[in-house]
Amino acid sequence: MTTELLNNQGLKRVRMRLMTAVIVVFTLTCSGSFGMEDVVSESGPGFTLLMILILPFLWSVPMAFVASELGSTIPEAGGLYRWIRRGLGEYWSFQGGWWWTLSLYVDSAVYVALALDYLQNQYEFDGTTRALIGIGIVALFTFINMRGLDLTGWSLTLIQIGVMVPFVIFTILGITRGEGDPFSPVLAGDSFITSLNLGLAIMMWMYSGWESMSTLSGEIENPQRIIPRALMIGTPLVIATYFFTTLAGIMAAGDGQWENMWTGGGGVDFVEAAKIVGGSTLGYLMLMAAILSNVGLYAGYLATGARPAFQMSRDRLFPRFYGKTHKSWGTPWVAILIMGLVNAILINFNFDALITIDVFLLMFAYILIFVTVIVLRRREPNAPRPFRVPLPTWALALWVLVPIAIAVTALFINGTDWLIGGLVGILTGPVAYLIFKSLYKGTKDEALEGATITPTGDLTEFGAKVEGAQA
Amino acid sequence: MKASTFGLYAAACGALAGLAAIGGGLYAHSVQPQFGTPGFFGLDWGVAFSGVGMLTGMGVIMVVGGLLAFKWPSLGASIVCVAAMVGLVYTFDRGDGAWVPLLYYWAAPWLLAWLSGIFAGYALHARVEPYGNGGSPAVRNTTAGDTA
Repeated sequence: MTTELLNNQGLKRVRMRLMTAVIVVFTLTCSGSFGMEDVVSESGPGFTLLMILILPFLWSVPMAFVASELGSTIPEAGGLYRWIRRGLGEYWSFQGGWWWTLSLYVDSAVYVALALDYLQNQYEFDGTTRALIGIGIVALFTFINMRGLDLTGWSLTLIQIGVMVPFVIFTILGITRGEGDPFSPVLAGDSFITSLNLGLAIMMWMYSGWESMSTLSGEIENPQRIIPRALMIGTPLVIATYFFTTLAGIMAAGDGQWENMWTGGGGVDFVEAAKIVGGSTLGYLMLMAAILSNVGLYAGYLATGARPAFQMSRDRLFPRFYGKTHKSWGTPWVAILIMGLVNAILINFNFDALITIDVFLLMFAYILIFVTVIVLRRREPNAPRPFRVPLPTWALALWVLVPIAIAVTALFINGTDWLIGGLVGILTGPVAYLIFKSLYKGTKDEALEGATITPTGDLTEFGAKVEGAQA
Repeated sequence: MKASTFGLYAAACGALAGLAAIGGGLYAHSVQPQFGTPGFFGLDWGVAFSGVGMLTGMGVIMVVGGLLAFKWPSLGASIVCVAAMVGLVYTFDRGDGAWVPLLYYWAAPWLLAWLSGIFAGYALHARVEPYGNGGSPAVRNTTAGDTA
């Protein structure tokens, strides 16, 4: 038992190169610019480009920095779930982990469904074929994820090459051959607020996912060093990708065609825009990129979405079988397999109603993360922070207030059904905690598996105790 | 704070959530008796299944849950939360602006039900002895950067 616990809970750490880590971050937060077309027609071309440049500093950069600081301070499997536990205690960490897991179980299936939509529009196959292809995609990436992060990293690298090569060609051709004016008009609607509404909701979605990679900390060597660096490199990379590809998209669509830019058929999306400037070959490549982009997002979120449930299980707050690890591969294979099974079932049904819980639950989890970083700064000012946001605590608090305000705003701008779905989803948290805590009892902070330092940050003293216990 | 105090708060919030729902339902009824009447399967389901009926019906269940929470906080708060969920799900996907006001009536019951769940969670956390004491596992990995 002792050997297993000291052996990283049965999880195998892989040596992930910085470039691979950057690609994982890129996949989780961007994976191409598909979806940005809707922002252009909703908010206007000029305002879209402005939001691409400004919103990150109000929304995603704070999360990237906060995730880097917390990830370097608490480099543990389960990531955000363990951060919140250290800052706000068991109850709120369970809520954060639960909301995040619930959201990603549904959300990840969306990406497979979107990939299937692209395929079906192109090849027009029947429902049975669609179901079989969908299950095939889920099964393939579930297996890859169960084999370990090294294989997952490789597959994401290949996928992103397939996504970005067409985008680079398209961007060059779009900017050089396109005739649309990317900055005029600035706003789509009559007023700033009208133009902001839906565009902001989509843009927030496009700029989410910075905390996700932290959940893999338990399976990466030196996560406290690799993940913050990957986030710092990934942030400008994502901003640049969104900006230049969207700029090219507006120009390629043609003069005044920004109003017709949307996804889902009938409008000028990136695939259609690619056909305009690069012919049917580039259009086909862009279609493949769209499919690969969604498949990549699925693979990435399957990897990160399964880990908090695994860690909650190891902390005795979730069914015990979720906490099993594979003896040879060193991965939380049961948690991954269950998530894959749920996805395989969901993609064969209309799960639109379930998707409505997504935004709300993720926003609440984000708020908990932002509160955690401030609480830990105050409570554990001397805890080791290999990466520290270069701001005093009061300034950091002011900075994170902005994304918190945006998150709260987002709760109310996605529509009534999203609000209702989210409110219902939030209430499942306390009920789930009451059930699982009663059944499994939980674990004391001092006895948590895979924790690197004590809640008070006293690494040296604790390490000595463990060494003494081993002796 | 002691588990019993948290339990007390959970019960109070649960009962208040129920009272807020009942109060909202009665007020809505006084203003518009047929408020939120559904028409499932081409039939008029009447006041019993209207928005008013759902508010008052779930409100009564929430009050019962709140009262049970005085003795059993986890059970009582769970009843309160599930009743609030049922009430909210009922308003889902109506596609009619007339249903939106019903959401306003659910705001206070939802918030109080959530608080009831939170306090019940804290009560349970304070009461249940977690693993890690005595002979339970208390050894942890201190070598995060090492390869297993």
